[in-house]
Amino acid sequence: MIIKKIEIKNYRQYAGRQEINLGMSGRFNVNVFIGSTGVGKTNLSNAINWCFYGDEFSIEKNTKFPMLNKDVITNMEDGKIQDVSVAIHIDYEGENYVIKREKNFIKLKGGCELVPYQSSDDGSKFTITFLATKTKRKPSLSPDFPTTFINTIAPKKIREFFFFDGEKLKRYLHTGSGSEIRDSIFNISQLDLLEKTSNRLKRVIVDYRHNSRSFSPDKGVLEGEIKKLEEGVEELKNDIKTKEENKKKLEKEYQKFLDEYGNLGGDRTKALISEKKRLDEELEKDILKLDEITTEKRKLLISYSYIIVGKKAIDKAIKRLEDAERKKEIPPNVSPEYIEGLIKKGKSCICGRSIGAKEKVALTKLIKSIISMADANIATGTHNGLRNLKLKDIPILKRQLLDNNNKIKELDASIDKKRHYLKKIDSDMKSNNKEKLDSLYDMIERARVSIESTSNKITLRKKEKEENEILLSDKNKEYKKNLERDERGRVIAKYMTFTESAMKITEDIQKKIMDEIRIEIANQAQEHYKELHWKKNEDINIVIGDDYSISAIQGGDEKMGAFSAGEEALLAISLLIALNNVSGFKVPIVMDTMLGRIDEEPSHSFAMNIADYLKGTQLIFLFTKKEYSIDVRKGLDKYLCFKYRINLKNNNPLTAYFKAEVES
Amino acid sequence: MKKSNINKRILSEIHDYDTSAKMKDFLEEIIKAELYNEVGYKFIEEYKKKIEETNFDLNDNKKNRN
Repeated sequence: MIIKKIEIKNYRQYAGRQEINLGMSGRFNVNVFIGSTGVGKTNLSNAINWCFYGDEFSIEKNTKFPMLNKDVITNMEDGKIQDVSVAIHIDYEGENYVIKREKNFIKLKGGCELVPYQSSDDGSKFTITFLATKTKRKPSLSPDFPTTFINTIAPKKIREFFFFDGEKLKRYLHTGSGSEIRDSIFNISQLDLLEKTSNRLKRVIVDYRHNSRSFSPDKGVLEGEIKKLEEGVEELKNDIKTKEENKKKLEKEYQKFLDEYGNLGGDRTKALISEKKRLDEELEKDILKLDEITTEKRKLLISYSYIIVGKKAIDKAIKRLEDAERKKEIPPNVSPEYIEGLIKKGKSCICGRSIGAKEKVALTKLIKSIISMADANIATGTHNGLRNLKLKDIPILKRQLLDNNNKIKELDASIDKKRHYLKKIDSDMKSNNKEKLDSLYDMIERARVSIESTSNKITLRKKEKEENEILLSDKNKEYKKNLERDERGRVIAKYMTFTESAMKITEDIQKKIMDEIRIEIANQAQEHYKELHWKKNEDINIVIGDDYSISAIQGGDEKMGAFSAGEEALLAISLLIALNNVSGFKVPIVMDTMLGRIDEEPSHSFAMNIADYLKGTQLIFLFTKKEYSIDVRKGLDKYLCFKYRINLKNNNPLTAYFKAEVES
Repeated sequence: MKKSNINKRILSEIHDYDTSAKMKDFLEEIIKAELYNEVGYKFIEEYKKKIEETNFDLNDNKKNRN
């Protein structure tokens, strides 16, 4: 898809009707808008978003600022209606369409109000028109269903991978951003079909269980327990999600305070803060690891609890068996194969007597009982079995526990050391303090304590969820066992097993596809990062782990903590480009204030490489004057299609207009 | 990924999955039914009908299916 023209009327800063041409032709894929802060760059990106999706990407939903240009409102008479509209002309696979969204507002005393179109939820009118040409007389996509049309060419849920927002770049790289990366990968993978199927299968299982309750009343009690546990697990999942979101907010706040503190305190404080940040992140990783090993140790102890608890009984049993063996009280083993041989021969090997029909039946019974005895022996532990249990398993258990204890000891020491060092940094920061920094420091501390306490709560909830899931699985097994007691129940149990298998397969397939896409994105992000990096010899491996956290490995060490702001931004851009590529949608990429936090050298390198690197993709850049430096200009101008300045008439912030500088 | 590509991919993964032919048929059928919106608000009944049609046989010969 290529955006060929945008028509804006009375939208936010843009009073009146304005038209801008955009394009892409051959190697010329760059379109640039330059404007000072606040003139309306982000609102141009919002206008495209609103037109396509009916909401604005970077504006809070309950903003007090009206969509209709305020200057237009001031000049309207009471009772008069004015419209806001954005129309985007696109070329989609050689066919021309106009996507248009409009809203009407009426001026009333004290402000203006929306006059909603009846047909839509948000009161806007949304239309798509096909423009026939000599070669394309009919559209390949029906314009009659605008939302479906948009979701086919550029789905809403993956829009953040073609509307890049410089302000939000860092969110992919902070600690705990794994869930955001996972959601992004899930969204671009378009796996909702599998998710929907899996959820529906789950409801079918619930329904089977519910219906089988009528067979016997005691199942009702079990069903109730299962339902309660399922609800509990669901509740815990939601609680964990809310707490994780809350933690993200707190981390953002913490970072903001730290930045402010660093800006006030000078270079020394900045260095201390950067060290503090690095230690905080490492400490969190250590604590998570410690928790993981402690859980592993707990599971190990539970799995060997029969030895730990029953050691005395096992010893006693072995002693009794040894005594019985010594006194020759234990009969020799008779193999089922030997008896089968006797039946086949029809004679006893010892006395030579013939074996009749009755004896054959008795001997066949004996074979069965020997086999079931063998099974029972395996289950309860035979003499040798008991000895093996004791001799074989205890050293393994000891070794594993020792290994776990050593790891726990090492981590405890490392955590103590880091906490001690953090305390030292804190006291250095305090001593470096001026009076006005004190309150800011308190806020940093409060935010840190809140983050730590939220982290602890999340860990506890996760443990609780894990325990409930084990209980749930046990209850489900018990339910099925109960169900299998009668004929009708056995049939239902089989249906349920079949449905559970189907659900597991859909989940397995989803995981497999997600894993492959995750690795593909990491590989592509690494390629983009190396291509766009100003130091071409940086040998860095970008890895997205099983938990979807991103790391940059160099010579076996994690380097992300040591990244400069420029490198962080470059990595986030590389990740976004990879997500965009893998999504498979050929849509224009709008980059809003991407170079704001990046130094000169990486900015230049980015500008030199990006257009050629993303050839075939229309690029729309929104730059501040500072971002659009001489070097950036030099890099991008070779690929320039259109260039506009966004200016204000008479310095009035409500009258932004586009001034074309270069037209292709 | 474009929906059409990912949907083809899902069907191919089901085809390659190590399970019974009846399970594969069942999964393909419900995925296609979901895809073309043929499973409506009565989906529990629809699903159950399809499950019961398979005769819940998980152990049929895997090689019987192409």
